Amino acid sequence: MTALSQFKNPTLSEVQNNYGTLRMFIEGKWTSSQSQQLQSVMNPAKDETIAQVPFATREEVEKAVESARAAFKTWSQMPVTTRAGYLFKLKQKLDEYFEDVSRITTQNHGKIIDEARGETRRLIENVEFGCAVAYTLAKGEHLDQVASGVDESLIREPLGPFAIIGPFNFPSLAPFWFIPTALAVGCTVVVKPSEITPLPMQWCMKAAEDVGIPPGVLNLLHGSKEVNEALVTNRNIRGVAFVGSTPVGQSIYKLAGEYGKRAICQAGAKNYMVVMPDADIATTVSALMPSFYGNTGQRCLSGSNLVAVGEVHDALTRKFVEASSKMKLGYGLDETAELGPLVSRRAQERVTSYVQKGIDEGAKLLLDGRNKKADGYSSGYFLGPTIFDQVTADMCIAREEIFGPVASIIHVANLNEAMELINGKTNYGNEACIFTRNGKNAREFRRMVQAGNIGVNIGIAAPMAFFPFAGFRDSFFGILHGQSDCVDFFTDKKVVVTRW
Amino acid sequence: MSLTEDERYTFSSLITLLIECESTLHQYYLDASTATSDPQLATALANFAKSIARSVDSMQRARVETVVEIALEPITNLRLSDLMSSIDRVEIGRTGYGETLMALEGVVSQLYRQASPKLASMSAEIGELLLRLSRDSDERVRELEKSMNR
Repeated sequence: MTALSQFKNPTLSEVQNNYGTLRMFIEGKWTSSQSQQLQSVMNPAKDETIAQVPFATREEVEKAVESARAAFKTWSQMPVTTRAGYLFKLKQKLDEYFEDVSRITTQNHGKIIDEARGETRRLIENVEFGCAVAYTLAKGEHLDQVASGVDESLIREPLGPFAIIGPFNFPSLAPFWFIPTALAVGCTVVVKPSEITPLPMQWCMKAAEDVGIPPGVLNLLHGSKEVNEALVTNRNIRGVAFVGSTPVGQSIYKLAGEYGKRAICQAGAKNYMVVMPDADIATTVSALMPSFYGNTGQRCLSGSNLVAVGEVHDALTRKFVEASSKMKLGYGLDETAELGPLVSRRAQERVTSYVQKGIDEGAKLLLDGRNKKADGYSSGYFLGPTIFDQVTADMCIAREEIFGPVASIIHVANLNEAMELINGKTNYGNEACIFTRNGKNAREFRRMVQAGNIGVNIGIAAPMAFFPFAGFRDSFFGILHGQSDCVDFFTDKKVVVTRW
Repeated sequence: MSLTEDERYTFSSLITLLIECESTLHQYYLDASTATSDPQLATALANFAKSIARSVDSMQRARVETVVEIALEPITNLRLSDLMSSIDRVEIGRTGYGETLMALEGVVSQLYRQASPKLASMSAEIGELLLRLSRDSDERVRELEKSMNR
């Protein structure tokens, strides 16, 4: 028996130490790429190579799309109950793989295990939503007697094969904002995860294979920019769903428009957390921690600018710095770690360069994460919580997406001034949150702020699977959003007017 | 886990700790069930051990199935280290184990009651589960008292 006084949370085991050269999943078969272009897949906590990812050739892209095109003929004609049956089985299989997918996510991305498990849980919720869609939202509409003896119906028809291009920060969840609904309504899919974090999706695809989803319905390619472009421009791809940075989102949206494809492009962010003088400081600071540091600040719903309104500034700053300074850095498979590494050496260098930029711009560095280490992981890409005070809205660190655990505190006099910053000083509009005990302030904020996802006394306003993942301005390109909007995205409407 | 004055837990590390406590209690019941010469009491103690094993399973499941990643706030202001050391110091001898087990149950029940509200914001299910386990522990104390006083 373990003596409790000596009890230590063990570091959880890795599913595998090395995953070799990744294969792609085309036409229901795992296929080795012919590509000569390979990239190392890293464990960012250890700076170790854990796999090699090939960049698919143009022929392989063609083959995957052709496989999706051919499968669409039978998949779209399959009874909806059969398609839903596959999704139910997929949900069950993903539940079985839950811990493996989560640990692989931590190993490849660096996020702590609770965050990885939370990601996998939300992925599965999206599959559940897909099951629900099959029997509800996909049904269409009907109205008898729109004119004398005339009835009218609206039928939703699946469009065809779609490309889904995922981001590095939610490597399994983000593609699953789209995949289940696409499959539920009868579309087929070619998914391409980030080349930095391709492993979790590899495991999800294994689940799809295990439940026998018919060949070609769900295909997996690896690669980078060239593969994205080859997918979007392919004549048989009807549309693309993308999650990633604003520059890439913009270019994919443009390309999709040029080629007449539907597109959902969820992009970057610069999110403001506004704390009113009447906010409860303890609960607010507690909510700000996962907002600024969850996923090591690498999420499009991360807090980035902390706006202290009026006299709350001093107490808020003191408590926020105190709480941030206590965070334990470590490998995410150690359950006691609170902050994992950044995803890559390049990301670490980029975020660190923003810290220097903040100093150069004259912001006051209250907490310097560059000095913080993760015991036992000296070569990992770590950066501790970093906090600047006396930041002005014109500084780079207040305007640009940093994508790391860096908080910029901006002091304003009142709520109007805070909302002017959000609406006027950034082109992004992904999320904005307010912390207050005043309902009028919260209502005003909700109505006036130009951001797609609004939080009231919550630091991560992440929509659940059954709501659209919104976004305004440079944070989103398109009309329909990910998750629950996807029924419209993957289908076209046919209106039938009948008289007998 | 290093138990400093400022105790800090993540969602998983706290649940792992509670699982460890529950597993320790499970082992104490098994030890007690073999230590007693009363066959009826031995069966009762073994049954308690079984129900504790089920609780461990429930916590293990909840740890991976119910976490809400958008609300992973740091868990602080818990004072668990003293409670845990009191569990650790126990030895099950051939006599007096009834009182020892009852005292232990009191500690475990208190651990659950303290941890429950801290975890509830991240997982309502686990918050509820811990309250239920606390009630189960209280119930075992009552049953134990009855068995010992037969």
